[in-house]
Amino acid sequence: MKIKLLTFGVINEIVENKQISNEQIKSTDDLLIILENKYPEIKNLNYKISVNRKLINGNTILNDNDEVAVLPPFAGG
Amino acid sequence: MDKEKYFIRGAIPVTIISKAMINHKEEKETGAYSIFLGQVRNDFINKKRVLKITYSVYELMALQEIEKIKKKIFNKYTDLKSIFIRHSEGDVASGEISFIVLVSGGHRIQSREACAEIVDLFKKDVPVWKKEILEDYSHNWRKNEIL
Repeated sequence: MKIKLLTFGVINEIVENKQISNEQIKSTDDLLIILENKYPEIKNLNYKISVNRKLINGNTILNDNDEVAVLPPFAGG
Repeated sequence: MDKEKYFIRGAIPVTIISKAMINHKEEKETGAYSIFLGQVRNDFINKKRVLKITYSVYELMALQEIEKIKKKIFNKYTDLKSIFIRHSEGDVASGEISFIVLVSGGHRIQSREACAEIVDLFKKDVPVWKKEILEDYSHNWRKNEIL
């Protein structure tokens, strides 16, 4: 599975790898386990996940070339 | 039609408001304009002044969310004629404008309620982040307070 990973705000300072190719990743939960193992700092941060620019609630099945974004709390305005 | 450009690099020049007003000249059925201007405050964070904010944007999602907000507001406030939104990306120094919402409507009540609601929805739903750069060049990721 090839995932385009986007990170923003404080999370962009922690996560370096923006292209993830890993056969074990089938869902957003799989991806988060890999990210939290590699970057344990993000476990203490508040964030939401979007898949193809839509916020998700709970685990979501991923497809090849999906765009997954890790979004800390928004702060526009 | 070209996609509207909601994000402007750096501070928003206030002359953009007069340009927008000139574009409204032919809107004879408008009776009220409401405007919100957001300015970068020189707050103290850990006893250090904020020099500027660096805004970052998840642009494709942000454009989609702004369109959703506009649709929702036009459906709710039927007296509304137009919505104009601009937000900064990149660096904006304290004392400069980073956010503009300008709304026109037939009458004042809907126009001012719609303007306020757009500002609140933008802050809640549009993926934008602000990094406050302090006077010693350390930084702080700001969270929007609900005030």
